[in-house]
Amino acid sequence: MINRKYTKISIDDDEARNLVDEISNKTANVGRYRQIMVEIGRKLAHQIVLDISADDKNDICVVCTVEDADYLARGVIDVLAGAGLGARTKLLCLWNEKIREDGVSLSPVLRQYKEESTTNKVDYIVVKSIISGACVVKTNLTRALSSNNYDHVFVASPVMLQGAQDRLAREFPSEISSRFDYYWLATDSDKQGDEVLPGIGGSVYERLGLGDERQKNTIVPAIVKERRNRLPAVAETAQI
Amino acid sequence: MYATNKVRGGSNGRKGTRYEDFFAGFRVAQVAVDQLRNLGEWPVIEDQVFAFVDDLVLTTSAKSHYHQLKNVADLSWTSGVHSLEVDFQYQVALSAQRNESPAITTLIVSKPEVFDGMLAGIPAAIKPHSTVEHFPYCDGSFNRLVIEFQPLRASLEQLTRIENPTDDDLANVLGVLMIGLMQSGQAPTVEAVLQKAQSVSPSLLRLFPWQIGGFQLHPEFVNILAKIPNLIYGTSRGFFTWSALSTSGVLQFNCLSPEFMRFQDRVISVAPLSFDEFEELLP
Repeated sequence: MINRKYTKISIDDDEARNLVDEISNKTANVGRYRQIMVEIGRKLAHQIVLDISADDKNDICVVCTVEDADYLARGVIDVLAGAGLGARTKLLCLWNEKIREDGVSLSPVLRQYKEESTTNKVDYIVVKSIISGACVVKTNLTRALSSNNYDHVFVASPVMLQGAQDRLAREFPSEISSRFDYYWLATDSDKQGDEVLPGIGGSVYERLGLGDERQKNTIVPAIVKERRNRLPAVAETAQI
Repeated sequence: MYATNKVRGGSNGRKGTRYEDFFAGFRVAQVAVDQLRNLGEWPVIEDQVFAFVDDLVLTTSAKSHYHQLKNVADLSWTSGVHSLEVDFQYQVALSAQRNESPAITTLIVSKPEVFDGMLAGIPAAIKPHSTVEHFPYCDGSFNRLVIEFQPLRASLEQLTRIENPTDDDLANVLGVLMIGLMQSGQAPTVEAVLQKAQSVSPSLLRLFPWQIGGFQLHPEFVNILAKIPNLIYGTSRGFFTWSALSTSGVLQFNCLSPEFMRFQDRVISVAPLSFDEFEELLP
């Protein structure tokens, strides 16, 4: 029996509910799965944009993992652009590895694509295909907030494992965690090993057609290449 | 009998999540930074020792530094059947009996208000060899510990594989130091703990100057990189770091490894002319 609770976003929006159920049932092929993630990104972003005040002139930094960049994050960025916020939108894409040894869980960042902000304060939208133990989101949020210019922090995901918000909040001083606002479509409470059930239908790398954990870290997302090509040219070669 | 029971009561084994584990990682980091400044004798590190002050001890030929950790809201030097004052006194006597290096005893407390009280109230009998330090617990989150505790940050900043680390880089180093401690067996030197930490894959702890020695990049590798527009790179802490077009990274193996030699060979063989071509060669 599936133990899933839907959030207000998906209770109020049949399409959102259908999307989150479709990714969890393992029947969608790679193309359809990718499309669903983009759509879910759009759904979540529509809610976030409603909560960004008209007085808020901060840059908006979308923080994502390499596997989510072209799908979940792209959906979010599309909506921000459609809402007239494209010029203020910056992307921070992170390639994470994984260490789980002797009770210590780490998700070190191997590589990053980071667009610099121009405003004093920045609103962060952290997207993740699923938030379970929160180790990756914790790491990526810690990196993003290292610059100490944070204002609002929006955490967005199709599915969260029960308790994920508390697990994430505990990893930050209350001055930071009190700024977290969460946007998600469903809460699951079952797990088998590392896999949340029904979750997002298994390994997100495989469902998105990105290979395994090692292979996904060799990819440069199309959205990174597109945005990078629009950046102004910079300095000559140098050794540091 | 008391000392025997004290050890038995405390030996739960490391789990990587305890206050004692975080503190041990901090001490390892401090020793590593001290050695960076002035390479000398490596202390041996032990926990849950057969002693009166038994949570952690670091021993060199010059001193035996005993630590008692207290993650409590209320503490006194003199209360209890076996008070802290008595334990600290007995420890020095026991160390002398065992012909150990001269013992110093440190109380580590998690609450700032407890720290203030205990520091101000060190009994006269143990003052010559005793100190108190504050080390927070942060509700068991070493991510928070790294964000909030400046002395820890200051040590970890010297140990990351890259210059100018972010907070998550610091947390990673503390994490692998704790893994190194847990995998190092009984009474290792701090040097052995660091080597264990360096062996965790992907590698997150810097190479030290005495390890890097006279390492140099292959001249042909350097020539090829020099021709790639916008690329900046370095190896100051024994890891190849690179940056171009808002993208940056660090290889997950150090420059002395066979994997790095293969990476150099691949770059030399392909001879990329642009950052895009170089990026495709990254492992």
